[in-house]
Amino acid sequence: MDLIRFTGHFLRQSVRGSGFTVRLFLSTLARFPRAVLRLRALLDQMYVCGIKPLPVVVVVSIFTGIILAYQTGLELDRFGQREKIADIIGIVLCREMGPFIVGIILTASVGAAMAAERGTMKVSEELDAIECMSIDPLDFLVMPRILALGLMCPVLTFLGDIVGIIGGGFISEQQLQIPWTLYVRQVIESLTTPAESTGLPKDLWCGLLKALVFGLTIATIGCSTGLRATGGALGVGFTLIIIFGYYLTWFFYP
Amino acid sequence: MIRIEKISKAFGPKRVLIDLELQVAEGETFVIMGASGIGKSVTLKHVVGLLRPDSGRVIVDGESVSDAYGAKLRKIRSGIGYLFQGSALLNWMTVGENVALPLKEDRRQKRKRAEIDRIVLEKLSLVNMASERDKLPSEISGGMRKRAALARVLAINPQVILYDEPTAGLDPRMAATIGNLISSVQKRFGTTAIVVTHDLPLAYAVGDRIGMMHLGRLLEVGTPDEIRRSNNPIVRDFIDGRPILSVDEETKLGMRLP
Repeated sequence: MDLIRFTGHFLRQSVRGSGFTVRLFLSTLARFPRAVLRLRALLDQMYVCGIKPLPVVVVVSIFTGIILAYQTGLELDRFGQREKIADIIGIVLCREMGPFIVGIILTASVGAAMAAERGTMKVSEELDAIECMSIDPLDFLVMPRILALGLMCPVLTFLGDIVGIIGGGFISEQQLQIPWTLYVRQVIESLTTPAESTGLPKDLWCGLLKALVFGLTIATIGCSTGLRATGGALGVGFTLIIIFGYYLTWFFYP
Repeated sequence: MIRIEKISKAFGPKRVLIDLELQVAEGETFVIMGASGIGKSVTLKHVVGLLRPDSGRVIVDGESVSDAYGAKLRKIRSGIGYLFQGSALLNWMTVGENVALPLKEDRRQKRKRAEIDRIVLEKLSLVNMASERDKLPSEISGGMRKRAALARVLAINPQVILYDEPTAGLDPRMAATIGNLISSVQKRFGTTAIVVTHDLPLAYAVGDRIGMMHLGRLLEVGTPDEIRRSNNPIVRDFIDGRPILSVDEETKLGMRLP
């Protein structure tokens, strides 16, 4: 009986939590135009979401590029295809690994902090105080955070892509004896295949679009979890990044 | 000014308020006393519309808070100040920014920066906190935080102030200071107030009337003298500070709601 009760309770809470999160996102989306009235809060949050995690993103991205180039390069060399390393690094980082790595870093740092901060505010009645002052908590607290992370996640991803490609280039030159100029030219060539709809390099903008979705998702789940003051932000964030990552790739490259 | 009409509230199976009735006249300070967890703060949250009753309604200045939403609720709330138990200052803002917050966010009255600064200084001076204006809430003591929160409440010139455990966690001298501050605010601005507390000296000092809350409603209401001389055994137990029994025993004796 306990197992049935526990399962029922878990399912009910999950459905309720999902409903709350979706409603929170849609309500916040409607408030995006009011960001011009909260420019200072938006800029503060862009600093928190974009500048503070930058060192971690740079370090993780550069080593991802290095590891990817080293491990893949050795195998390619066995088949005499080592010059293909630039294409692989460019496409894999921009299309998949870049947004994924930044998404995971932001979930663990910014998303978790958002959940903890909102949770603390709820417990210490600061959210009630905001409501009592006739201030809209979504407008005041949630909208600048979701918008800031939505904007900064693609920016960080773009920087992470560049740093990762540089890391890969370093290994390509040192271990695989591919000159920098050739490496860079091949990376650019691999990324210039335009998409039919936009004319922009498809692999690059698909990755950045993914990053935008990840950013909005992480911030929404972080805020929603904090406002409901329950656990699980990290777990849900990680899971959704993997799920969204898979489905967005499937959508763009069916 | 404030009329609570037979409100009931339950959280899941736990009933907290049962047909609670209360009227507070304009300019009156009403103190709600009672044991912890008896529903005193829940009552206050109904007055400001943070909670809605399962039945009954709360009227403030002729408007039903319990049926108000959106702009109407915001309008009612603009006349109500709420001093929270833990002060509820936003911890990333300085004391001055906290006091300025309700003024800056009031879109109906577009105040200039100089006017906001003047009001902030005036209200902080009123609670002897002008010198702490640029400090963060984490850099000041509990008593100072309470005073800063009171300055934030006063910034909007409310007609009604709700005090939730204003002396909780303070030493006796700071509690007396807060008590004096509440009395002087009430006298100076003539606001209507409900004070929730289990601090007897504060209740006697600031209350025009005191209500003893028990089993989800007001058991006895009277002036501070009447409450002091009460013969009701439950009121006497509370005033004389007799130790509580276990929850099970008190429930069995009908002293707690199941």
